[in-house]
This record gives sequence, C-alpha cells and structure tokens, in this order.
Amino acid sequence: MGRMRAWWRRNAIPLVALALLVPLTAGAIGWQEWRTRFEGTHWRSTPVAAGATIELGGAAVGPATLVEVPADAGVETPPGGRALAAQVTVVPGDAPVTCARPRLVEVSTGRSWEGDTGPFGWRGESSCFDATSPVLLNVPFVVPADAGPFAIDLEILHDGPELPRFLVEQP
Amino acid sequence: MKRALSWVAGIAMVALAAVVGQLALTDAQQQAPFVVDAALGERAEGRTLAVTVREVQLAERVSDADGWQASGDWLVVDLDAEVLQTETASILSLVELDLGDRTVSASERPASLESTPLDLGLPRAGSLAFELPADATGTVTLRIGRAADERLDSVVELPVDLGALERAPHVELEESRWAA
Repeated sequence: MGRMRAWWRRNAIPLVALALLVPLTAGAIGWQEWRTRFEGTHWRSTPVAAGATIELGGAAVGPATLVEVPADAGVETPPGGRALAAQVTVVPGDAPVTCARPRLVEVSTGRSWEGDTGPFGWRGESSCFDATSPVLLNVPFVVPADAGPFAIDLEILHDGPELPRFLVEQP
Repeated sequence: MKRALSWVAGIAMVALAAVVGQLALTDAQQQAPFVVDAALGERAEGRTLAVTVREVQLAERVSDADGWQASGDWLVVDLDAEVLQTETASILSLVELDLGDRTVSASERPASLESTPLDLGLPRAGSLAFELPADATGTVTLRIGRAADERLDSVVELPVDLGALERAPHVELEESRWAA
C-alpha cells in the first residue's frame, strides 16, 4: 500500500500534466476540425421574418412572398405538381446591387428547387446585375403538390456572410 | 531463448505489416461509388436521384420525335428519373453502359434524357440510346448517376443480358415529358 502511494507521489507532476494535456489535445483537435469547417463555409443562413426587409450591401431586400401561379399564366405543370412564384423586392441604395436567382427551399427537409424562366409575357426579373433602380424578382417554380412549407433563399452580392432566408406565408 | 523470441516476434510483425498492407484499400476502392441495384420496372433510389427503368430493347434503327434517325446496333432504354435533394447541377450526366472491357456513353445524337436537367420530386420520362460496338455480347451493366464524377456518390446499376433481347427493326425514342 505504501509503495503504491509513493508511486503516485513520485509521479505527481507527470500525472497532473497528463490530466491537463489529454483534454487539451482533444479540445485542440476538435476546435481545428470545426474551424476548418466554418472557414470553408463563407455564408451564413440568416432568417428574415415573413413580410420583413433586410439591409445588405446598402440595398433593402424584401419583403418576399410566395404566391400560387394562376393556371392561365402559361407555366407548364404536370399532374401531381403545382406552380408557385417567389417574389422578392430589391431596392438598391447608393451602390448598384447584384443578386442571384431566388431558390425555393423546403424548410423541413432542405430540398431545394431552382426555378424556371417565366413563360412569354411573365412579369418581373429572375435575377439582377448592377441594378440601380428597384427590381421585382419573380420566379416560377414547379413543385410536387405535397411539398412544403417553403422558404426563399436569395444570394445578394455584398461583403458580409449573410445568406437571407425569407420565411413566407404559404400559398 | 530470449534472442530467439525476439527474432520470432520481429518476423511476426513484418508478416503482420505485409497482411495489413495487402488488406488496405486503394484510393479508387475508398472512393468507389455506392451501387444501388435496380430491377426492370422497379424504382431504384440513390442518394441524389431515383430512376425507374421501364423497358430495354435492341434496335437496328432508331429515330426520335424530331425526325432524326440512324441505323446500327442500338440499345434503347425507356426510363423515368427525378432528383431527390436539389435541382442545382441536376443534369443527368452519368448514363453509360459497362461492357466489361469498355464503356459506352449514351448517344448525344438523338433528342433524349441524356444531359437533361431533372426536376425535384416530379419525374421526367423519356429514353436513352446507346450505340453498341458490333462485338458487344453477353451481360452488360447499365449505370445511371447524376454527376459524371461518381466518386463516393450512389450509382444505379441494372444488368442487361443482350443475348436475351429481341432485336426490333425500328424503335422510336420517347419524347421527353413529365412521367404520368
């Protein structure tokens, strides 16, 4: 018994060092992995409440709405599918604004739709480039009738990492 | 005694290292696609896409709805396909026939589902046409995937016995459309 206690006493410093270094090593490795992951992700999904507007790169983006496309609008829809239109208002500030095409995202699963170009006579733009006057983005999507609820992702060219995700009233 | 034991232990370790070296997977094996086995008429679901191969037939002449036609040894595949996660980069790019020693890609000549964008949740129906080399025989493997780079992705595979198929004088490719 006495020999055992002497061993612990003799190795007190290495034991303390071990107790500190083992968790520290695990922490350092874990931190390094997560840091790599976050550095590789240059955007951050930023939720925007329904009907609200977000300011990005001097431009006012929003509000965004999702509406049912009328049957006579000319969007080809298969049986079991329905046509929705994502509409986002983008108002440039002092600088011109550039935005990608809005994307429709199913909130529960993350499934995402790319959208189509509107048929002949379709009102609104599908994206914007160096816009200096207000733009109405209006993009039709054909989705399965049982999909949803949806949100709208819209990339706006600016310095920050925010990728706004507009929460919308479901049509 | 102790010396002999050291030798035995040393040789055992070298042998073990050789075994481990043999068992280790190559890069190609580590990145091999996940194969989803498909059956004719049944829906096969991979990671990013779902495919239903409805019919496979051999033809001496094929044509498409636009009026294009060509003679030769053709394998025509009728199928439904949809993507499951995202419509981003959802072009049906990997459509090939593995003949064992060679690989034939689906022909780009007729209007077909080859390299068409797939929709999410709403299947597209259509055909693929493969121009076979004259000496192609036996069982070949139809391989379908979303991206041409198949590493670590899933690929739907369907074995096709060329010898068991009737050769039709003429087959018209289906016009690409929504699946019913």
